[in-house]
Amino acid sequence: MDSPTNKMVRICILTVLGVVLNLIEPPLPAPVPGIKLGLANLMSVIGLYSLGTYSAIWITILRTITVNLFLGFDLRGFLSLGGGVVSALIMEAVYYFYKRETGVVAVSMLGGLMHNFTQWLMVVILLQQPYLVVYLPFLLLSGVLAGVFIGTTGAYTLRRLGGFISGKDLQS
Amino acid sequence: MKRGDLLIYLFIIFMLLSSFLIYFFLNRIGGANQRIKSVVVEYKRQVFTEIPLPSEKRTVELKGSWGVLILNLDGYKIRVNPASPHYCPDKICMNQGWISEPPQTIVCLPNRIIIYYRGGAQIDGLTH
Repeated sequence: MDSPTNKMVRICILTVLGVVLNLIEPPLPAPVPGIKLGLANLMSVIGLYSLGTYSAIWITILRTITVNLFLGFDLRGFLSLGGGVVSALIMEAVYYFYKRETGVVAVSMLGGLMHNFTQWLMVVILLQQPYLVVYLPFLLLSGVLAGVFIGTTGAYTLRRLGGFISGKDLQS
Repeated sequence: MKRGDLLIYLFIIFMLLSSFLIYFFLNRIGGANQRIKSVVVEYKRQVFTEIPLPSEKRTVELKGSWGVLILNLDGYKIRVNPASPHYCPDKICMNQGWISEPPQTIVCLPNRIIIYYRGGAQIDGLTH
């Protein structure tokens, strides 16, 4: 059950679920224009905590590239890729070094915060507009709130389906 | 809650507090000297047009690769007209409504347009 092929297939299934979540999210009503929940990151968190190290970063990269193939590569796609990869890397690092001392919700909050911070940094570097610092506090706050939601949902899903997703239920 | 969560929460609170402090600090400076000279419309990091303020109540039409963008001016207040017919998939620039003082900006990422005030707060020198 621990073969590389097995893990690859499970990562691919979570990636496809993330792509579907990413594509059905925009029609849903958003509380504030320009701010969205980022439901697809749920799959990265679930993958990280059920399949282990290196799965979140793979799920994020593959999902972002696939969604960009659907929607067309543009500035938004690169912002999404950069933010997603950095937040996944940080979540991976925290999971790798402090697995026993951290919970799903806190790691997900950290990921949401770093996701929005990276995107803001990329926009500032691209547009060279220091006035954009006005948006920073609200972006960070929305990232943390989205992280709370994603982390709570992910923790519930992992409690019910974690063994099913990782394949550990079938081993016994 | 586990032990390491506390450190993560502390880091998140630190980031949020520092960003809000920067925000309020810049706002306070912006409120101190109200000497706005003009409003600048930037396209691809180059000044597209510059309109002196204050202006009487009027509309300005900007033609470019995005189509026609209609700006409403009223004193120091500016907005992108909600009925503006330019290429706009997100409608964030229109939904923002009126802006009235620096460092407020209207940003249109799809068209790479930034509308901001010149004069007033000296945020440029501070952040550089």
